[in-house]
Amino acid sequence: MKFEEHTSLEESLQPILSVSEFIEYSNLLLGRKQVVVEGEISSFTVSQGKWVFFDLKDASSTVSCFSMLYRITTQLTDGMQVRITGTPRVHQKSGRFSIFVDAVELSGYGSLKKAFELTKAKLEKEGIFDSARKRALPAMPHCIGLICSQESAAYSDFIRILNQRWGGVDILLAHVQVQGQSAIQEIAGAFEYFNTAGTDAELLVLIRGGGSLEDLQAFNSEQVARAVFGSRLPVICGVGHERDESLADYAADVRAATPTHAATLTVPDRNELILHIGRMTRTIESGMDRAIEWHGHQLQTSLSHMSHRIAARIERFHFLTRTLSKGIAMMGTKIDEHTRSIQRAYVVLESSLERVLTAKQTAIDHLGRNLSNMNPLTVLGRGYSIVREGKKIIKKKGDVSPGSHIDITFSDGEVSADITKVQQQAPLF
Amino acid sequence: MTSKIKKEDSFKESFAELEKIVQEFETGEMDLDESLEKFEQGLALAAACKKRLSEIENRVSEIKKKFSAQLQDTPPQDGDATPF
Repeated sequence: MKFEEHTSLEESLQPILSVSEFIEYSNLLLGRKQVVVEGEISSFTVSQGKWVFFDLKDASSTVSCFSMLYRITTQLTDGMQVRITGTPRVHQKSGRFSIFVDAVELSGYGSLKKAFELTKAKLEKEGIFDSARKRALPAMPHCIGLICSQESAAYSDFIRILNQRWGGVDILLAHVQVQGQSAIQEIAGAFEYFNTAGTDAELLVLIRGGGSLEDLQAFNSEQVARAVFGSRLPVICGVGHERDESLADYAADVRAATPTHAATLTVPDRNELILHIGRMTRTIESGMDRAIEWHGHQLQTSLSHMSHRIAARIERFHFLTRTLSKGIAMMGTKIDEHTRSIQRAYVVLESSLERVLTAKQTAIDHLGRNLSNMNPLTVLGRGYSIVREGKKIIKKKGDVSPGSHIDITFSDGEVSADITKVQQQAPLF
Repeated sequence: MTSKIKKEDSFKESFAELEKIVQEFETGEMDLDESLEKFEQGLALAAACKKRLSEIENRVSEIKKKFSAQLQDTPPQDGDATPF
């Protein structure tokens, strides 16, 4: 009775909903506020490569969760402790209560370590950490991109060391969250910006100060590691303290142990260069000194060589002059000697010639006298005569006959005659 | 910006030039005239480089943009489409 009364009273105050309306109404109430729930994952499944289902539980309760795969930015497996951010809702058809998960964060060292190992293995297999692909850094960059939190000690340390070491650098600062929900998207977004915006940056620096594994989560996420790997520009990554190593470090072209170290890798140290220039100056100066000394020495040597040579030539000249003089003198003497020889020879020749001529003259006279005796005219003078018949000289009586005409030559002239008779008698003598 | 880059490049060039001259002095193969010329050049370059190193400041400019990486897929309309 009471209940019926109660309900009829409530009826006048309460609207009556259909099941669908009730679910809709419930979702309206539930959907007003996002919740953050921490628990352990179990029954984690991925369906059709798109939908993610898991249960989130603690010691006494369990709640269903579902999400889209693209929202899950970290490796998840059963047993991991996580913190999910999402909206509770009731499924229209089944009335099933679940949380629609917007984002998942790992919580607890164990989960984080596990996720880290899984992601690392996955990316390593893909070659994201290969040393062969790591690029060289430009030596003296004019312009760099800096991805970090502007409010962090990492940023101020980096800038301070950079200023100490070098000047003339344009630093394009991309201020991002380095932990928390939006860190991964912002960091990845910054890399995307530098890839596409066409800035003058020649390299990128990604830095973050020290923190727990939970704080450094974003730098161990697959998305950030891929963003670092896929950067068009070379990347220096310096996250955490020296002993911290993040997946972003592994994926980077150069790993810095700390943000300060990153500054030393980005630019050279001007003081070191100034010292180096000093050393180079001294090398040039001493090189110059040596050159001058060497050339001076060369010059000395050349000069002394030259003066030796000249002296030698002068010496030779004198020697030749003396030799020449001697030679000329000797020649004079010889000429005199020869002249005297010639003169002597001439005298000898002359007297010989005289003797020869005299002898010849005597011989000629002798021959002359002989010749004179043989002169036919002389013979004719003695009574002989030459008988000719024509031109022919008659020596024998037989040569003529009576009637021949002959010419007779006497010492004083010629007569002509005719032969009358040829005597038969023998000559008297 | 380009003129600044040119200035920086000329520093790099000057520095490289200086190192080259030092090497020539180390090998010691030059004649006196060449040595004198390179000596003067080297000292001038060293002075210019030193001056350049001592003077310039760095400049930070913040990129005024909110960074957010593109998500891989566009989300579907509604949780009601879930197949359970």
